[in-house]
Amino acid sequence: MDITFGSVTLVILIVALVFVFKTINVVPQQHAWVVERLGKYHATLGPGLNIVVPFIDRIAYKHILKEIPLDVPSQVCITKDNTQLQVDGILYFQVTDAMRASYGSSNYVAAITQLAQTTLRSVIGRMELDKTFEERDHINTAVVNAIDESAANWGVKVLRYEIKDLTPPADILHAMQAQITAERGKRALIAASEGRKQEQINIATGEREASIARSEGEMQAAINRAQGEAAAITAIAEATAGALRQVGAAIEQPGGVEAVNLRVAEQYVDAFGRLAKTNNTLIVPANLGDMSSLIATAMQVVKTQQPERTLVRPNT
Amino acid sequence: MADWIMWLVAAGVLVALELFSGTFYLLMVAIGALAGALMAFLRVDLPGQMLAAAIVGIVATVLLRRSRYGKTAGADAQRDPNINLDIGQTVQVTHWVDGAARVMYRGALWDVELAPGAEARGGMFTIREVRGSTLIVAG
Repeated sequence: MDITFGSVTLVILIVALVFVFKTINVVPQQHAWVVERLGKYHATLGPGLNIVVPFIDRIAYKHILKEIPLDVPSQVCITKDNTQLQVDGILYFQVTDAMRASYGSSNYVAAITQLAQTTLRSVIGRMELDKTFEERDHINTAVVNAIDESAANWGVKVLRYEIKDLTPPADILHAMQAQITAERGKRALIAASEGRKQEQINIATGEREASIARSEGEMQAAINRAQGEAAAITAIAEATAGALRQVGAAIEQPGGVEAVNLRVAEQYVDAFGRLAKTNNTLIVPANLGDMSSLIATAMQVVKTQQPERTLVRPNT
Repeated sequence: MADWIMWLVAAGVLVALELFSGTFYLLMVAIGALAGALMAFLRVDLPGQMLAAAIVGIVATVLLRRSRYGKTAGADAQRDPNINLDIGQTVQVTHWVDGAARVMYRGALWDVELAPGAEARGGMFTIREVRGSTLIVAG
């Protein structure tokens, strides 16, 4: 009897311990525990101290309500222009409704992962390869919207879908590299030719300006030279006129005509003397022997000029 | 060694473990162990000590439930700002289509529905409830 009573009290103590353990539940912040009462959804336990009725209540699911980054396995997508693209993404989701997350889907992580992958495949299938690199925002939004439409009853909210990596096949990558290299080469050639063009324009402009400056200088020089020559001619003419005037005045003096005669005769003889020295051909007056008549002829010329000069003088 | 010392040692160990774990039930079990120690000190036999420990532990748990710290699980978890931090936040809704809208909130687009009795107009709304991934808002 004693031993039996002791065993009973021991059992009662163990049951009491289990009762205490199962009744008191401390839920941490941003966690939600789903309680079933006799197999039926009863309540969601929020953070803090929670007391449930043992035996009939059961904590069936424990959810974390924090935002969870979920690595979506990489997959091969085919773009509109039939290029295979390896796509790797990351999904950010959060349990917003613990009850629906428990009962809406058997495995919401698998559900949203699969849906993200299929949606991504269809979104990329509608794009060309070049567009996929530019339109990440569009891809993200499309995936999030598609999951939102389906996941209304899954109790989870997909906040973001980010593409981590978009990897085209190696030969496509090489072709893209080659295209970029060629593009850079083209730009370099255009820049060089533009440089040469500008250089030639500069040289031509410089030459033009130099020619203009040079020709203006030459023009100025020619003008100056011409003006100098004109001034020189005028000065010589004036000097000659002055000299002739003096000669004329000298002729009008007594004995002037004789002096002229003498001079002419001297020069005549002189000229003949020089002719004889310089030329092989000898020019001889018709009547060389008659030197006096020759001088007389020269004198005649002087005499005939004299009356005209006396007439002209008052005017000068 | 006397039984009551054993009970006290057990209670002390439980309280120490409770301080590490941060749960409440070890504290209740420790109170039960203290009752067992009291019974042992009063020369009650071992089954009586264990019975006292079990009863006091259960009574302490029930009292905890009755106290202001103990709360029973409510059914309105969808409206509890302690469970869902979005409740009580505000969203900007520009226009409604049949009491529903799609708005930008926390960097993502959300489905928004108007709470019963709320007026569909443009402006700021407060989130009252989160049903699935749909925000139920009211002005």
